[in-house]
Amino acid sequence: MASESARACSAAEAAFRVPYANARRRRIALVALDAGAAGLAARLAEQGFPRAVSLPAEASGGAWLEALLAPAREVSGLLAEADHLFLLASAEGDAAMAGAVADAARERGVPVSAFLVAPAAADDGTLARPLSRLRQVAKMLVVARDEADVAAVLTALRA
Amino acid sequence: MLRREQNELLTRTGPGTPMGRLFRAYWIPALLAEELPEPGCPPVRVKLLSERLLAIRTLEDEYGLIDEFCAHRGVSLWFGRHEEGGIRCPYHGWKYDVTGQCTEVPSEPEENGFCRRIKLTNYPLVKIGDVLWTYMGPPEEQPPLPEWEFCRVPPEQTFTSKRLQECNWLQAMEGGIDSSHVSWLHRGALNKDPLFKGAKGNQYNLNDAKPVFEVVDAPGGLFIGARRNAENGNYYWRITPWVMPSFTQIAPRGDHTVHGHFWIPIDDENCWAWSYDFHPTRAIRPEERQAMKEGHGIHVTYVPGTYRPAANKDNDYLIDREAQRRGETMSGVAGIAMQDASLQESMGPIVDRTKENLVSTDNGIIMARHRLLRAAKALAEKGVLPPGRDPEHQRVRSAALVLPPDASFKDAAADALRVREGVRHATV
Ligand code: FES
Ligand SMILES: [Fe+2]
Repeated sequence: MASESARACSAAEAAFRVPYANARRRRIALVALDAGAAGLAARLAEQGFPRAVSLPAEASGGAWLEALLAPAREVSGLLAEADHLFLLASAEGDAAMAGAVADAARERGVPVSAFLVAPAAADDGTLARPLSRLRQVAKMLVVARDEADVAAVLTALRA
Repeated sequence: MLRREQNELLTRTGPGTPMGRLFRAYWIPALLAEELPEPGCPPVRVKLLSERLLAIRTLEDEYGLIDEFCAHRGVSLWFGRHEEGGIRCPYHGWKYDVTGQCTEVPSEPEENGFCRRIKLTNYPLVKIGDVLWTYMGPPEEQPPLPEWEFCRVPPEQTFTSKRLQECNWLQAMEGGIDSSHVSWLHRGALNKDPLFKGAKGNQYNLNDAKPVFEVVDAPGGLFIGARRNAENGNYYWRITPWVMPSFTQIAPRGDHTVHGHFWIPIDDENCWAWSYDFHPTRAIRPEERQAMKEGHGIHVTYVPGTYRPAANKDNDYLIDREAQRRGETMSGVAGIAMQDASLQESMGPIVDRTKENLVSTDNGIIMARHRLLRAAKALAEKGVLPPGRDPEHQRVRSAALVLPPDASFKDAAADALRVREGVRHATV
């Protein structure tokens, strides 16, 4: 007689896995931290992924407060609904706003992951700032050469 | 989550499938060298990538991997008899050389040359280290011989085993790049197993039970880094390379031997989990080798005379609910390898990935699948040969090291992640 496990592992038994859904839909919020990331976010939106909020790369310059106001409100709205936050950064910026956004997420109990999309040529020096900032806030970080990876991960996570 | 057709594509590796084509672009481990111990030894039936083959070592000491079945009326050549120049089918005496070329059909007049028209499929079989490697793809695309460090060091520095795993190759391999399960499933083993205990790095592991993961591109695949806090704001990194299609190396611990895996499809519902242990600069100590043979570390003990683990699905993996209750093991199953295999087999022969709910710590798995899908499609549709064939891609190492907080580990640890002759792994 086959053991419990032997029977349970068979292809025939696999057919009896319950067919009902085992999770509710997840909402993933995307926030782009610099101009390069904003471009990526726009391309993702064209592929049908959730629209990202793009933040100005830093809070400085004459009209920074005004520039930040609308996107900040949007981020707040997104986070209120989100199950997970993905920060998008590129080698162009230095992820200056990562900490502020992640704080807001933490306050609302939203976990944070990050994508740093950098061409293979980007050297350690360029990446040091965004890397150390993203590491302080993200519990999972992907450093990708190819933005197709971002789409792959978002799809796999059911974004 | 994968769509159904993506799951099909990644898990099916028989002849003519895109993923099968991908596996056939590489040298893959076919048998342990010990399975063909001497010239003229009994042949071994081998199923690889859903093809039934026969491994032979002729009286002239040549290795070959040929179609298992005689071209006459389909008898298994496993019953064949070694004779000078090849193996003879016992049914009607057809004889084949190591390349599968038929050299004699006794019933036909020799001068009509009938036998020259009979040729069994054959693949090269080459011994490197403890492993017999084969390449099952088009001859004109055959890559250079494998350069994996574990099979290129002197014999006294390496140990390789294999075990039958009764599920699809992909769910087995995914366990190998899923660093987040280690602190759960294997938590009891870190400080007890003779092949792990005592490393300083284990302390970092225990002090900071919530590692943070980072995945970065590598020429042959990926580097998957698990980061924990170390002294003075620095990070303790454990970095695992994954090289296409299915090679991994686990981050080292102290001066222990370094280990890792290959997962090779037998058919779509079974695979070989290959496990190696080696040290780049010293011989494996007798007591270490003994421990490996006794199934410690990532190795197992077997049903005698087979490569099937002694704990297997037919005996419920010898599950010990008392040990589980006491917290000695998480699942009640003993040993790192069978802790993995039992759970992965419980997912069913081919797990339905349309139903999974991945989280961000699964990113290594997600990225590996993405690379496999992309490479399989590029090969099938455009003939683009995949990464991981280049010996340079294979000369990678895992590493365990402490780095400053703003260093990209791929750059800061660039030397540590490459094979350096005569230098041991970067290890804590
Ligand atoms: S917790 Fe990961 S499979 Fe159940
Ligand atoms: Fe494991």
